Amino acid sequence: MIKLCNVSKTYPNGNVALQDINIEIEKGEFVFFVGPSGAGKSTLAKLLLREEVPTSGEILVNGVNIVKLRRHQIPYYRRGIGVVFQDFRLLPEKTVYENVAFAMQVVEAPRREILRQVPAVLHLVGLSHKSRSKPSQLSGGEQQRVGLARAIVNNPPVLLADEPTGNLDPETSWEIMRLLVEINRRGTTVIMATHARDIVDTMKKRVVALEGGRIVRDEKQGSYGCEETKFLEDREITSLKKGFGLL
Amino acid sequence: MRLSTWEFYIRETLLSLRRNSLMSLASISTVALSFLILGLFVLLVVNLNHMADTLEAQVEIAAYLDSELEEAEIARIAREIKALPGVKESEFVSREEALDRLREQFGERQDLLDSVEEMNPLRHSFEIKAEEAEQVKVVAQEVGRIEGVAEVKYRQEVVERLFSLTRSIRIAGLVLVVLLLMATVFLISNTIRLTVFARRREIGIMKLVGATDWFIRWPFILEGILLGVLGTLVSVLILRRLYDWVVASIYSSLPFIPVIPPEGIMQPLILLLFGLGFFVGAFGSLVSLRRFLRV
Repeated sequence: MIKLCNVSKTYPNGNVALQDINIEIEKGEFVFFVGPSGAGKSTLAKLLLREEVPTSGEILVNGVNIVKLRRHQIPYYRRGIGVVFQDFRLLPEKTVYENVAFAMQVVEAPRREILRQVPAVLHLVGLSHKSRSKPSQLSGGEQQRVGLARAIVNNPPVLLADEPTGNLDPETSWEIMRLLVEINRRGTTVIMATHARDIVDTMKKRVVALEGGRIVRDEKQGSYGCEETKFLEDREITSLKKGFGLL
Repeated sequence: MRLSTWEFYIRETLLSLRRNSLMSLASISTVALSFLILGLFVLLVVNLNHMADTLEAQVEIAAYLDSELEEAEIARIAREIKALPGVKESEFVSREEALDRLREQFGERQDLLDSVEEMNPLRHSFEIKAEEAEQVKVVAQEVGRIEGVAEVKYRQEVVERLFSLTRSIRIAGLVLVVLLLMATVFLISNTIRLTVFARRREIGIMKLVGATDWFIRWPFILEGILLGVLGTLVSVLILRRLYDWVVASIYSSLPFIPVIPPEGIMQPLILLLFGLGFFVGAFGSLVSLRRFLRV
């Protein structure tokens, strides 16, 4: 479902963030990306989110080369990827409910849908009782759960978690991990970048280790054929949407 | 686009306005001030134009007749003059009357004219007023063609000087208006820019969650429009009161000045100002968004 083929990224200031990355991730997998700071995990996340483009190589998501996406197509692509951040990135002036509903308003979901989905998702993360609170009134763990709720409220096929437990204590971290596992069980592909070794070691999921911009370990060494199966025009948005189950 | 999305935009706009209420207030007052000056200037220029026009039209054309004309001839000439398009009124001045007028001008030294009275060298003439300043020249030419009219005079240089004065006022007015508009656009764009900057984190999150550029833009544009329109509203309220008062004062103390009454000019001016306020607001926002939406 997600393929990176010979992906390299060098920043304008000369920093070589990634070198010759080849990875294939299937639908429904749970993948950890581990490595020390500066190994390239964040860069990988940015590439997947199309915040940056690789200096060379292709990134295929559902057969579509996202490197070739035009600017106005990017938002639609991103709607298929839920993101959770280390610093939560909630909107401070909005309540918990509003923060989650926001993700649905952005994709112009009908109001009835919003009224149905948001409470459901808040219930899943166990924050129904705090719908009206503002982020400042929540603990770190609770804020991250809001972030998680927001990330999944649109039912994206992929969930990207960039150091989601970085600001949390061990116990709260496990709460989040439990939720991630549950979300993965329900069919969402989960990609998590982290350097929390204890979590990675305990969970026994696929681990891809990065060091100095290269993959140094990956249990799954498949063949990495990188043919574009679809070519980009605006109707590719339709195929993207179909692939993402958004249609 | 959905109705509920527009509700979302409007709610976001009002929220933002309330959050930055101090800055919004500053913006609104400065727009109000700009448009007040703008409106006053427009009123001034339009009135000056109007006065100049009226003055020009009052410039008289003097048509001197051939000597030795019979009454019937003179009557015919009178008819022909009145028939000309663009002639507002015309008055016959006999040579005797012309002499009397001259005497008045001489005042104490009237006796100098006594010898002249025998052979009044002055001629009969018609004093003609044109309907509009632009027509003076044409009317003068036409009158000159009438049989029996020897010479036509009008204060050409006065007319032309008035003309160029009006034109300069119009140009200066236009330049000032453009400058003021630019200043107002800049001002609004600055306010919006501060708002955008303050909310750049939020905008970043919106982009990551998959909001399109226009989805992000609309609340800011609406905010700009709201600022523009509110500022215009304030300026319009003040302008109306002010002009009513000025016109009333002029009517009572200097009634001979042809000032345009409020009914004639306020409506279109107000419409124009609101239109400007709207566009200045929208444009100002777009300009500042362009520079900051590059997240």
